[in-house]
Amino acid sequence: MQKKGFFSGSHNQKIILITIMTLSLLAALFFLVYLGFFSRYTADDFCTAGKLNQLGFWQAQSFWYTQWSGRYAFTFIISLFEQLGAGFSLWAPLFGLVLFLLTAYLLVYALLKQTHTKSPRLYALFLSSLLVFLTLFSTPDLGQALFWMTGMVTYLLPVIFIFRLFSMLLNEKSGYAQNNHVLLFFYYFLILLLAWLSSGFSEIATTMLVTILTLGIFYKRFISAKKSWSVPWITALVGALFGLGMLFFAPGNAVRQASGFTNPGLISIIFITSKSSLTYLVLWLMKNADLIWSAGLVTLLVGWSFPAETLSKQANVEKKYGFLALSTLIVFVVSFLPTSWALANKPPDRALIFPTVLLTLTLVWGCFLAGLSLRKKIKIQPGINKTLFLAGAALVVYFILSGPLYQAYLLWDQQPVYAAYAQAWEERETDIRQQLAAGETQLLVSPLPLNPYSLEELTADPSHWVNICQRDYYGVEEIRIK
Amino acid sequence: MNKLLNKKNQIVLLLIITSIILFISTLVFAYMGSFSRFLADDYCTTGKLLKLGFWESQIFWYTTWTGRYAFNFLINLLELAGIQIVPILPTIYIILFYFSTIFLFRAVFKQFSIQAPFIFQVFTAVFFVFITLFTLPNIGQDLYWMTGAATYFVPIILGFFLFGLLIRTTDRFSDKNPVSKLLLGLGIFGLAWVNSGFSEIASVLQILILSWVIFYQRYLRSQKQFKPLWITALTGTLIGTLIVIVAPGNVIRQTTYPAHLNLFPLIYKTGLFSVKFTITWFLKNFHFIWPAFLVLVFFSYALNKHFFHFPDQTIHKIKINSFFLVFGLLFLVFISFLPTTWATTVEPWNRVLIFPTILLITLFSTSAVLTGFILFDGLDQNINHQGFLSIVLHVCWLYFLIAVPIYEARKVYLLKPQAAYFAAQWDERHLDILNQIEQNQTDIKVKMIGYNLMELEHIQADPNHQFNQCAAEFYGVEQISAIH
Repeated sequence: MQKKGFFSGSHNQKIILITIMTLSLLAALFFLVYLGFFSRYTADDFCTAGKLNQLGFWQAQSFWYTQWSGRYAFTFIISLFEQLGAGFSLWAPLFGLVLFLLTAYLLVYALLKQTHTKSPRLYALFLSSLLVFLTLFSTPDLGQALFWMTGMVTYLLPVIFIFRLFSMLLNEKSGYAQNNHVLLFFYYFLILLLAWLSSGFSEIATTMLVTILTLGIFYKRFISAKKSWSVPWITALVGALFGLGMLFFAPGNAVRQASGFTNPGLISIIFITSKSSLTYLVLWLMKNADLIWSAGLVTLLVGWSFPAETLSKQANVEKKYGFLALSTLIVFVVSFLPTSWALANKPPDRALIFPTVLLTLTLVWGCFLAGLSLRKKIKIQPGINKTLFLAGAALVVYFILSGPLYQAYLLWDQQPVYAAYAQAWEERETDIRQQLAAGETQLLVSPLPLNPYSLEELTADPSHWVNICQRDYYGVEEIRIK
Repeated sequence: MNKLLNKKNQIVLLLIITSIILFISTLVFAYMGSFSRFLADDYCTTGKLLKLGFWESQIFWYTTWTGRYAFNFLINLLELAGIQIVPILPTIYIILFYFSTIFLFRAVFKQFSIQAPFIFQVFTAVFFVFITLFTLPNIGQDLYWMTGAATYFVPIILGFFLFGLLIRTTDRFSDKNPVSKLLLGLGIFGLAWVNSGFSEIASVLQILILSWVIFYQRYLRSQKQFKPLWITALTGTLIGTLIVIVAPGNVIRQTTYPAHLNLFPLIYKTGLFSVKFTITWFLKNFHFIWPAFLVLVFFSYALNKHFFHFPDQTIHKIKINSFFLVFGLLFLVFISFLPTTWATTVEPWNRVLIFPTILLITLFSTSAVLTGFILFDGLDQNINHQGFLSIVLHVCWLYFLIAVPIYEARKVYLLKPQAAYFAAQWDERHLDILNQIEQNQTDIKVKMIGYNLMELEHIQADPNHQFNQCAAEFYGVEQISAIH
């Protein structure tokens, strides 16, 4: 009997297979970057950029906080991006994707470190690439969550910040700071700042963050073997709660809520939240069954081949993972709560990236742990190693072809739509600049083709909100389409 | 109670539930098929039947269009029953497909001395039918369309019966009395002959499979001998194929296609088309293949543990034979593209791809079952912590049921409004035509019908269009045309 993993070929063979899978996932993500270069200022981008041009950086912060939304971190970062000019919108998806990948890697690395292995870098890279790939390819509105700059900052950046926060909280090595008061202060300050920043993008992200931190503190105090209060986690919770308070009490909320806020009452909120979360869970599982099955199996096999021997050493394994599963469910349901409260409806598709990240993280990490567990529990007869390795390799090849490569191929079909939109946008921009140079203050421009992000465009009505935002952005009296 | 819920019974229960849900999900095709109506070629064959009568019509088609004698016979037979048979044909075909698959699979299990419980045999058959129906590149023209089903679906059903019968009776043939031998031989000859008269591809595949098995029995098996029944079947198939090839109608039909390719371009193009199809099928259907593969592996493994009884060395034999099986099936996929590439020089119509699809499903599902056997052989059978594994597997199983058969059936069902609309429009138009005929009109004008599930042409604006002429013949009028 052997305790080798499923990929029971040589160490090098395993490394090669996992490397190839990682590269194929990165290739699919690279294709998203390529599509991202067709992104241009759309809808709200003009509003924030317009106010920035009109009022300047700090006045714009104040304007949005008092007139529209308490999302202070969003307002700050979008203004920073817009300081770089409209050309940055082409680079924003690349920026978001690289950061997402990096922070996912740090988070997975920190999680893997908990299994006390020496060198999990390749595994961390594979799992984080898979996590990012699954999230982006299974999120209901990739266009608005990644390619649209306002959407990316509102919905993807908080995920990135939260990933970084948790990779710090999970990193046990940070204990080195315990003996140095300056470092310790710096460490806690960083956590506080990160938690506070993470809370300033989106109400959904903030609610989820507060819930996760509360559950984590509860676990550490009452369920884990050590049963102690975790100061870093409490620090993070304080930062998140402070951020939540700032979001909640922003004067701009009153203005924004006047345009459609509904508080349907407790029972309705519970009903709407349960219904919309359950519906989304089922739909996500159904619509993405192809990716879920293939990625799940491949991750399980990778977990099975992972050189860790520590699962059985951990105490309370059942209790720990039982609590983790329950917590995931709670956080998932909670992610639908803010919209049920504010809109009496499910969140817009672009905001569903939050529950999607949670689902993909659960899938990837759950299957990886299941693989680790199988390694401990199932013994393989010596004579079958080669056959199993071949079977595993065949599955990996099929996964590469049918997962990342085929998904990227399907997306390739949409490339002409993105390219046509970008080209038309550039032509119109040139036209606008020419009209401005000619001293025109009432601009008449050609309509754009339907944008691939399903966002609102300039209309024939100069009092439409998109027209008003573009008017501010270009500094003219009026702008409308022919 | 504990006895009732032991592991064996749990597996049987899971198998029964899975089989029922898979079966129910395939009924969606029977339901959607109930919206089928006469389209395209259906008018042509029925028109000639009405004009010439049954036997004259056989001669007409054989001498002026195609040598597919069994198809001509069957389609005219069905058309004698009237247009009302069209909506119920898909259901009949699905039922027959189930029977033939169960019949074949039982024979295969028996042949390999795998004493699997009956429910597993039923399960594998239901699974096969399920995957086939849901992954066919053009279910509309293969099942819902009367002409398409008679050309492509029926030879598969009959082929399964033929091979099931051959496998079941081969070893017992020598024990039978001379009259039984004669009757069985005649039956198999007749079945093989009939089945060669539907489609050139089916005939070529049948010849190859029969030849390969005869070769295997004579030269590769431990008991090296010719099996008379297989040779009888091959003889019937060869005669049938010859009748198809030498039909005078082929010459006329062939004039509509370009000149044949030379050998090397033919092999190259056939290879290209078959590889392209194989890759595309695996990619497009990976939402079925991954979960279905895992579920088959699981049941194959679990049943191994509790039920299967193999003779010694079976696993070893399986490992060796599976290598040949994979390459044999891929070769057959290549061959299934050969007749069309030879005749038309282009890729086959989607509806023709039912043959390579069946071969690929055989390849994939056999690989899954064999993987289960191999895992059973290679993993420690006293797995600890079965509770944990059991929960994970049950969750996966439940997810499979919801995400694959139920969700996919729902997707098919979502096309119901279009299908029902087409059927209602067709019925309305049919009544309108009959009314016009009653008023002695001979130049019929009808409303144009748009989309249909089968994506086939029907009555057009141009009265000289091929299908308008067929429809005019069917209704017995001078001309018929559609207006927007």
